[in-house]
Amino acid sequence: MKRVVSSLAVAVALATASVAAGATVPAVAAAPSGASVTIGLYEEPANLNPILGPSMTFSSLVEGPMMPNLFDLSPKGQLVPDLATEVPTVANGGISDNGLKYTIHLRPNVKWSDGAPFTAQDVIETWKLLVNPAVNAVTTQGFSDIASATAPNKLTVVFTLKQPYAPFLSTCWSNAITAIIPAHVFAKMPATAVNNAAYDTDPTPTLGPYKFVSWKHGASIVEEANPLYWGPKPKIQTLVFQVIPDENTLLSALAAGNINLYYFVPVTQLSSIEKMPGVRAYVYSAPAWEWAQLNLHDPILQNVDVRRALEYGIDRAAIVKYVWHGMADLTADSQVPSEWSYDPAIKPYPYSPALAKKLLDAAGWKMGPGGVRYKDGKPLVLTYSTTAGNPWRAETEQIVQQELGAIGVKIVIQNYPANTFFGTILYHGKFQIAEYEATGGPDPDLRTWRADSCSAFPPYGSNYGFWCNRTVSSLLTQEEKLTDQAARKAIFDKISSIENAQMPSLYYYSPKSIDATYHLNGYVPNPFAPVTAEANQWSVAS
Amino acid sequence: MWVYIARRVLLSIPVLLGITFLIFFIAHNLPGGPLAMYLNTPTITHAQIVHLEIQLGLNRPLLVQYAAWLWQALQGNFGHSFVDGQPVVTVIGQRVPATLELMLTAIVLSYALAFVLGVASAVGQYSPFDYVVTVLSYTGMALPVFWLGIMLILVFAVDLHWFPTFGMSSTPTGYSLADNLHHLVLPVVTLAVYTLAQESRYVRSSMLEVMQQDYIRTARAKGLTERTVLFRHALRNALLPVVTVMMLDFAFLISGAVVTETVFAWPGMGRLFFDSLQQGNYPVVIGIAVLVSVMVVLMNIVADVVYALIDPRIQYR
Repeated sequence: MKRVVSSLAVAVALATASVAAGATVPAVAAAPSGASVTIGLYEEPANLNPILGPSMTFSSLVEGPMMPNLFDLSPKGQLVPDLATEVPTVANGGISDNGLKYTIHLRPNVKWSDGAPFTAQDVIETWKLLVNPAVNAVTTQGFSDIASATAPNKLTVVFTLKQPYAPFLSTCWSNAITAIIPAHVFAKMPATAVNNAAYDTDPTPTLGPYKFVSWKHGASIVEEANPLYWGPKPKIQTLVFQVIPDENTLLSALAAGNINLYYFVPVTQLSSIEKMPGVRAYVYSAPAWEWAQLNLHDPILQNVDVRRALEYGIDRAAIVKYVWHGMADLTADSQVPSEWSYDPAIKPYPYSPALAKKLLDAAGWKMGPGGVRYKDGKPLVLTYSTTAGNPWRAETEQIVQQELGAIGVKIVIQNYPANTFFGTILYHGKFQIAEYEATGGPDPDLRTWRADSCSAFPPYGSNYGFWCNRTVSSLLTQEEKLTDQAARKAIFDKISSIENAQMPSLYYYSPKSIDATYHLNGYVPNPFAPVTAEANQWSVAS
Repeated sequence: MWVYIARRVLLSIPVLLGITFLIFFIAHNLPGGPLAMYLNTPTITHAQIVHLEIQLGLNRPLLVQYAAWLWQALQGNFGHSFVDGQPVVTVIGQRVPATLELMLTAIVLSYALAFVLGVASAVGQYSPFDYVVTVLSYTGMALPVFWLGIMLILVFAVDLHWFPTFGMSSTPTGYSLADNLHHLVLPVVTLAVYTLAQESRYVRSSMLEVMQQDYIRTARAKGLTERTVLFRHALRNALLPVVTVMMLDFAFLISGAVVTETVFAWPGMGRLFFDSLQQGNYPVVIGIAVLVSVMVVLMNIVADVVYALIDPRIQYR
C-alpha cells in the first residue's frame, strides 16, 4: 500500500511539474478591462506572413489590423487608398490608356513599427518575393503579369504589365489577400529562407494601427496599438485573437461575454445569438455562393435538358426558407448580388416539377418501373456528394433527394470529410454532382475564370465540372483587358445569361454571412477584406 | 529486474519501428492530403501546386520518403511542419505541457477517486451507496465527452459564471497558478468522468472477487481487524488486474483529450493531432504518433514493474 501511495505521489508531482512547465512565459501586466477586445478564431492561422500560403480567412483576420496594403477594399468592394495617396485611374493619369502602365504614389511619412521609413522598395520587394519560385506564395495571380517595377523616387512605384489585366489593383494591391512586407527584413534574406523565416510567426515590423506582441500556439495571438501608426489612433489598446475550434464553445463564450467578436456564425446559431443580452448580430451579403457542380465528363449530365431539369426540379426557395432561415439570396448564375457584376434581370429558375419532367422526357429519359426514369435500359441514378458533418447540407441533400426522386431521378448520397471532398473528390473529378460553397476574390474576374474557362480545368483552375464554352472563355479574355467597369459589367452580363441557359452547374443561393459582437461599438462588417483592418475604429461599449 | 527492463526496452524498438512504418503509410494514403488546403484557394495556380509538391518532397516514391524520414528521425530530426515550416519537435513541444497538465490531473483525480468509490462499493455491496455509485458510473460511461463538456460550459460558465468558457488562462501573456487551476476545473472534470466511472467498476469487481477468496476468510479467522483485511490483504491483491487496465486506459485518455481540448479550446497536443490529421500535415501526425506510442510502450513497462512492486510473487528475470 505504501508503494501505491508513493507512486500516486509521483503522479501528483508530475502533474505539478507540468503546470510549472507551462509557466515559462514571462509575466506581463494584464491590460485594464475596456482596453482589450477578444476575437474568437475558429481556425488557427498557419503563419502570419501575408505573402505566404495557404490563404486562410482566419490568418487574414489576424493580419488585418497589422498589415495594410496600398488600397483597402470597402464593405461595398470599392478601392480606397491606404498606403497610397489615391486610386490610379485612366482619368487621373495613374493608368496608361493601353492599360499597361500603373503609377502609384505612396503616402509620405509612414513608418514601420520599428521606425524604418516605408518606401517604394517595400512594394517592389513584396512583388519580387511573391513571384520568386522558391517562395511558397499565397498567390501569384496578377503579380506574374508584371513585366517590371521601378521606383522613380522613394514614394512612387511604376508597374508595367505584360498584358492588360483589369483586376490588377484589387487583386494585387488591396488588403483582400496580401499585404506589404518590410524590404529591410527580407531583401538580404535568401528566397528559400522566406518560407521558414522568423517573421512568419513573429511579424515585426508592420505598418498597421496594431503591432504584433505574442503568439501562444494553439491558444492566442496578441496585438497592441502601434504608436508609430500614421492614421487615427486605436481606441482599444490590445487585441486578443483566441483560438476556439468548437462552434458551440464560441457560442458559449459569446454568451458569457468572454469574446467580443465571433466571425462566421453558422446560421443555425442565429436565433440563439439574437436573444443574448449585449450581443449584436450583423447579417450581410457576401461574395460567396452555394452551388452543385455537375461533372460534364458524365454522359448523362452532358445533356443540357437534363441539367436544366435538375435545376427546375429542386425547390431552392424552400431550401433558403427552411434550411437557411431565409438568410440567403437565390442565384441564377455564378454572379452574386453583393457584387457589381451581378445582373438582377437574369432570374433564377422557378421550382417547376412539370417543366423538369417535360425536359427529361425530351432528353429520352422515360418514367419506368419503381418511379425511376430509364433510357436505353439504364436507370437515371446520380450520385450527390458534399462535405460530411454540415447539418444544413445534409438537410439540403434530403430535400434534393426527395424532390428529384418525385420526378424520377434517383439520387444516391455519398459525402466525404471536407479535406477529402476538396482534395480528392472535386480535384480529381470523382463525382457526378458535388455541392459546396465557392468564395470570390476581390474581383469577379478571377473566380468566374476559374469556374468557367476552358483553360481552368483542374489542376489549372477550379472548373471541376469540365464545362468548356468557347464563347464564355473568349468573353473572359476580352473582359480582362478592359479597365472600364461598365464595359466589363456588360460582358459579365453576357456570361451570366449563357450560364443561366446552359446550367453547367446547379446554381443554388448566396448565403449571407453572420458576425456577432458583444459590447463592441464601431463594427462594420466587410465581405471583401478582413474586417479587423478597421479595428482602430472600434471601441468597447460600457 | 533491470535486465528485464532493458530487454523490454530493446524489444520495443522493432515495435516502434513498425508503428512508424504503418502510420507513415496510412497517413500518406489518406484521401485529401497536405495540398488540399491550397487547392480550393481562388488565387492558387497550377505551377504553385507543383512547386509545393516538390518543396514538401511529396513527388518522391513513398518508400524513399519513408527511408529519408527514418534516417533523419534516428538523428533526432522529425522534419518540419507542412503548415508553418517550424521543426516538428518545436511544434509538438509547445503543446505537450498543456496536454500533460490536463491528462495527469485527470488521471490522478479519477484513479484516486475510483479506488475510494470502488472499494466502498465493494465493501457495501448492494447497499444504497453501491446502487447510487453503480447508476452514476453507468451514466458517466454513457455520456459523450463533447456533450458533457458543452453542458458543463453552459451551466458553470455561461449561467453561473463560476468558471471560464475556454482556454488555459484569462490573460494571453503572463501566468498565474490560481488562474490556470481555475481554467483547469471544467476540462479535467470532463476528461475524468469516463475514466472514473470505468475504473471504479473495475476496482469494485476486482475487490469483490478477491473478497471471496479463501485467504480473506483465513485472515478474518485469524482475528485481524476488518481494516487490515481490507487494505493489506484484499486491496493489494485486487490491484493487479486494475493496474493493467489503468495503464492501458492511458491511451484512451489521449483520445479523450482530443475532444476535451477541442471543446475547451485547450492548446494541447490532442487538438494539434486532430488539426494536423485534417490538414494532411504528415510530419506532425507521425511525430505525435511516435511520441504517443513511446508513452504507451513505456506505460506497459511501468505496469510490469508495478506488478512486481505490488506482488512479491512476481519476479522478472
